[in-house]
Amino acid sequence: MNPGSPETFSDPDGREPLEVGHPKCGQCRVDEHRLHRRLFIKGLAGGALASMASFTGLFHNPLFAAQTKKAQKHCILLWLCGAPSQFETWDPKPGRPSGGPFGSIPTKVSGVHFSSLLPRCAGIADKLNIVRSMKTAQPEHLQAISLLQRGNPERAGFTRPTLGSVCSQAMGQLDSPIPNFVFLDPIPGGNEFETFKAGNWAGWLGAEYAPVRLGGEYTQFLEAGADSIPQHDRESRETLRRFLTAKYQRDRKSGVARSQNAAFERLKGMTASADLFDVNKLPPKDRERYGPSSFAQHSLMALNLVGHGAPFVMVANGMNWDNHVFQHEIHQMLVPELDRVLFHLVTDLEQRGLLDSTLVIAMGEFGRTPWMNGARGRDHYPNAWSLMMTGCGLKRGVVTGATDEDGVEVIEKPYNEQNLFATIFSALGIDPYAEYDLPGMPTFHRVENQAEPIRELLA
Amino acid sequence: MCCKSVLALWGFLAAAQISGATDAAVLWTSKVQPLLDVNCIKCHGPLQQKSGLELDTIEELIKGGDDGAVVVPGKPQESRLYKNLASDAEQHMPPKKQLTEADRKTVREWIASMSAADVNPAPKPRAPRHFESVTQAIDTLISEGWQRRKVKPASAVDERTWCRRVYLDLAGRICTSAELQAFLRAPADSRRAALVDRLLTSDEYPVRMRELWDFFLMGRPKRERTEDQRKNNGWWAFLENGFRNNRPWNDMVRAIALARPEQPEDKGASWFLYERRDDYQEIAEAVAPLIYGTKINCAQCHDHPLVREIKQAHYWGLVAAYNRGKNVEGGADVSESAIGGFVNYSNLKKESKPAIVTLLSGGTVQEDRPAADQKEEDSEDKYVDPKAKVRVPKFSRRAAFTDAATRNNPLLARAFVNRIWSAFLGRGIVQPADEMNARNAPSHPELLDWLAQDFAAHKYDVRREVKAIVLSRVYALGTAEAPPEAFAGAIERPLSAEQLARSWRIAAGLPPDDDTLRRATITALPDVLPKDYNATYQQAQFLASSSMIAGILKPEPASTMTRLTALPDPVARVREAFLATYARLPDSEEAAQARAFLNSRSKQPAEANRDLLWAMMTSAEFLTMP
Repeated sequence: MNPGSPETFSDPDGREPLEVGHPKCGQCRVDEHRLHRRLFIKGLAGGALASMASFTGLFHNPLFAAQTKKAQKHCILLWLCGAPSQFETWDPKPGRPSGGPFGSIPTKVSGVHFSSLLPRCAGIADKLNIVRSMKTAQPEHLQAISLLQRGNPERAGFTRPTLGSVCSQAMGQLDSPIPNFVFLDPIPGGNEFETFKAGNWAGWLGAEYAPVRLGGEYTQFLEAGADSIPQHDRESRETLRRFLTAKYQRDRKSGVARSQNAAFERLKGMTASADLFDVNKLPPKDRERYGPSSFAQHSLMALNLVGHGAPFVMVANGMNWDNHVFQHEIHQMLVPELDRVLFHLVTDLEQRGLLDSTLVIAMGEFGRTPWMNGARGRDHYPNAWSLMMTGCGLKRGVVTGATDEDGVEVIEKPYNEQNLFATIFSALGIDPYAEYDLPGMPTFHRVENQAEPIRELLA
Repeated sequence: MCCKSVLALWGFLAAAQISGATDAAVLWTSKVQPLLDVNCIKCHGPLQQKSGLELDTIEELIKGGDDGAVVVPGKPQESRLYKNLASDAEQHMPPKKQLTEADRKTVREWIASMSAADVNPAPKPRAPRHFESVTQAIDTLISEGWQRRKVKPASAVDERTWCRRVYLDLAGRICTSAELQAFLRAPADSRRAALVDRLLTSDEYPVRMRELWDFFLMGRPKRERTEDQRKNNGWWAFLENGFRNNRPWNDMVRAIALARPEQPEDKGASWFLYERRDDYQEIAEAVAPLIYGTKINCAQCHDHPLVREIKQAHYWGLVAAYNRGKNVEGGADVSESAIGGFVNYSNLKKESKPAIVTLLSGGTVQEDRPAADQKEEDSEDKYVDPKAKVRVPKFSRRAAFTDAATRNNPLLARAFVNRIWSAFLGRGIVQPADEMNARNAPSHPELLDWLAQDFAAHKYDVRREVKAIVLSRVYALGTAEAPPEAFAGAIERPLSAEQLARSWRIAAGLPPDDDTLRRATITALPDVLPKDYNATYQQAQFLASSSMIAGILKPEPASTMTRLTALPDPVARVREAFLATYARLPDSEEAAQARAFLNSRSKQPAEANRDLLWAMMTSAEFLTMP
């Protein structure tokens, strides 16, 4: 390669790129492709990991692309941060002191009752699965959020990647225009959740597996960027920036350069998919069905993103479930909204033929106390709580685990965060016990201690 | 992959016993110690010592347990530490788990690589060596470290790079072309010291130091309002004045820890406590790294499981020092009660003990404790001035603690020296810089000891310390491939948001300060010298799309943009752009790429110039220390 010769930026060597089976796909700018190839040959372009398929590479063969899309698994995590009360959702205790005022209703699954605040979900209980015997050890938000997001207790000095980051690496597509890990939460704050959000999501996997945060004002740059500088100019200056940074990385073994280029990679193609992140572009009838709140709208957005191939979408709304005060009053508003959203989400996924390839999880970081505190609230309760998960790789209509008559203790089949993660990975077809390849670090597996998945849920 | 963490973990030295760069030492810190942490320390460590065996430090491990030694150097087959790991071992360890083949191999290799020489008793402490200056001490001891580790140091950076580095570190921004030229023209043998002296007495130095220490002591503000509060309540002014007047560091720490500003120069110091809103545990956790150099958070519920010298008593003792305090509305004052604050703490075994003010550096503050059923009565005669708005008790726990913590506390000097070293060199002598405890051995123990005792002996003179570091040989090194703790090459340091915002403006040919740009950059890039660099998507979005960055690339009079537009050909423009942004000329590859870029956009030269500058200003070279 002769670096001195090129006179025009967009035609480096005056030849057609010699790519086997490279059609004029029209999907990417040809000159950028050439430059990228030139940089790649010089060893300056970011190397693809052997374990990840290349999106653009697969588009060379249209049949292949379709097959990949079909094989793509997805996960939607409805992160009910602050922790919903199991008594007011999946494990009601009507008539008991701990039961609260809402009572229970029968569901489509004979013998199973939900809280009366979940009528629509009761109607599709045969499509859902409930785990009533979650039993975890962290009663405080920051540690519990980390525990349920990472699937294992913390170990000082090492940051385990979150579920989204692991799935992003295991199921994601290199070069995909949609980020492999999308996190929709318009609320900047959320106390301990705010601290968690500002922390290290991707851990030892590296910044390229961190989530792209959108929703509310977090989406604004996508729109702002579009009109001020023309797309062509953006791309050409980005290519120059990438060249300079890649050269710096090579010359100085710079970690900053590597991380910077990885972050900018995720920007690439975002403008092409910007509409997918605009709430106003969602079909109005769907928007009306789901409901007006940002949580509802973002859940609809998640459905749409999954339909376009997104592997992992996490939807949250600050830490609104943490009702230490006026728990019944607030849950009376939050649970019906969750009911409506879950009903439509699961039904829509099924109708679009996506439920078998999409795992849907609705959970918080623990449950809430059977007893009320002095402020008419329920406090934190990791001792016995519930979650809902259904879709890809799971049966339907299973209710597993049980608590005693007041919901104080788990009496049947206690499960912890490790069992949960083993189940999630198994359902998505990801090896739960695979060892991470981390030279110089202790041995870590996706799930430690060979913890068993919740077998009665796996299909 | 995690190449950086390989380098970061490699060669963490064990305590005194194991000499510098042996295989055994490397294996111990990188593999064996983490393995023992997970599988063995719970029963054989600071919290429990089954069979009298402790495995959390090399000394204890070598000592063995009730039944004698567990390791025979060089002979894993004779070492019970290894033999008991076999699945059929009589005294199988760990009792309920089986270590994998890989883990057992690690232990076997480690024992096999140990020699009798590795197991020497600790060398006797000797009196500090004499050096002509602090810089000489640094140069000598670091260079001895290179020899011990058998590494070759990088060559020094050139004058341009050195100048840019020093401006960034001491003034918080890159130098202008004029400043660089002035430096290069000054007499060679004295210009470095002269520049440092000038910068240390400039107006920019106190601001830069305040930015660093505000971050170390308070973290980034969680809300925009918080930054205003820090300013309006005099916290920033307190720090800046302290650095401007070169106040002794122990005086500043005393003012912060006591939170009772009696002199005008202490005003604002109490904000350190006040912002934490009477959360005594949060206060204790913030005071510990400042006064001891180490976090003690893990010792809340039990003695620190890994660091044997940090006990629950220290944690709750520090809480007790502060739990009589109370924020006073309408200001930044923290009053103190003369009664109350007698707490007990319990460990995981539910054993309860009373919390007494206890210092990690040794000693307690004794006071009379009321009996359990006795009710303490508050009274006016317990206070110095009972009518004062901010009441001060005659016996003040906070004052007693602060006194003990800032007078005969050798850890205070060590904490500062290590922290300032890490800020300017990219890594502490003890790393992480806020975990100076038995778990993290210093890479250069003699240097740390020397610097600390010298700092304390010279009235905790901050300017003197900064000058000495910045004029040392190690500060001026270029990059090298060597374990980072050898300090054989410059360690990569990303710029802080404040440094970036000012430097962008200077590269664009504008005056450095702009509050809006500063705040926006802080929001997008909040980290300051993070342990793991993590470029977020949001950050990339900011760099790519921020109208504020675009705003500084408009052609203002006398700006870089205007200068570029006036130049006739791409070659000259590229050259000018590199000089303005990176203070150097491009190499042939860069020149070719940049020229080709300009030529491809020849129809819109102004936009091309803007985008050339953008690409250079958002590239890694600009975002890191030179």
